[in-house]
Amino acid sequence: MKRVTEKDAYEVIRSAGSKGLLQSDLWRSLNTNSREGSRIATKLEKKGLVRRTKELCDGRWTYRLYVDERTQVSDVLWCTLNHCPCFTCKNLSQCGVGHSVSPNNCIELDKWLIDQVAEKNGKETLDESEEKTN
Amino acid sequence: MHFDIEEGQFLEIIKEIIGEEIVVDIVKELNSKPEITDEELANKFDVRLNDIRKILYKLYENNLASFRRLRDKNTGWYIFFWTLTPENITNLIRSKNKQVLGVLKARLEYEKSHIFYRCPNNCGACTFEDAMETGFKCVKCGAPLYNAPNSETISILEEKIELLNNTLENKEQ
Repeated sequence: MKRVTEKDAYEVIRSAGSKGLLQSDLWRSLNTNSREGSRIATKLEKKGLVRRTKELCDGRWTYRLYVDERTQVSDVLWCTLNHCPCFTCKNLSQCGVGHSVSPNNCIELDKWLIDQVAEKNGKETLDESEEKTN
Repeated sequence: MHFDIEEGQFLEIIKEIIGEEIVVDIVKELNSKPEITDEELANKFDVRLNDIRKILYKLYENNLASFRRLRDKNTGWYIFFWTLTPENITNLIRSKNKQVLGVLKARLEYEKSHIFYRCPNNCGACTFEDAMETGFKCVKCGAPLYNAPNSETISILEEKIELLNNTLENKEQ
């Protein structure tokens, strides 16, 4: 039996378009068994990549699978709060109060906060001077 | 997969997270093929195999690449076949946002519960308790410390936390 990846399954479901695809048709087209088909479909659903709705087909319950369009990369919002260093910090997962890496004594976070305060004050003084000239 | 990596901010995000210029080319190459070995990538970009592996492992740590390995019957070494998994980017960003939110909230709590003193020579800040121990003198340069109100830092942190909360709520919808 051919090894089926989630990528292959996703591609098949996506090519079915808005009408979706029955789970039984998915594993048949992937040349695998229902156990594997169900496993992959559940995984894709958990990841939020596909949507499953229950459907009765030839007297048997199965699922119809749809690609969830909300998960397209274009929808991803990458908001780094004006270059907050935490987003790209390699120690982020270990960072916490009382840990060796702590938000309370992080030099990078300090620098960013100082910059943010300076930027805000700069903007305010700029606004004030503009108001005065107006 | 139908993810268009050129679309949206995908490549920009990857570059920021991994922090290497070449990652963009590697990701494009990975996306153009179902599977590719680290050696093929190293040859293509004329980069040391170790450096390529470092980038691939960083992608793997962030759930943006996966691999399968096969043992080479002749040499007995493993061959790694790498696949790009760009669909995990949404989960990655969501988890990063949550982690950063936790960090900023902890810092806000710290800022609210302490009084700070600063060195005039920009050696850094310390809390009132630490300043007391050193006689209100900088540990590094000995200059007298001055009281630095942190109300602006608190308002910045509150602003950023609100922004991040809104971003997370929008994504959960």
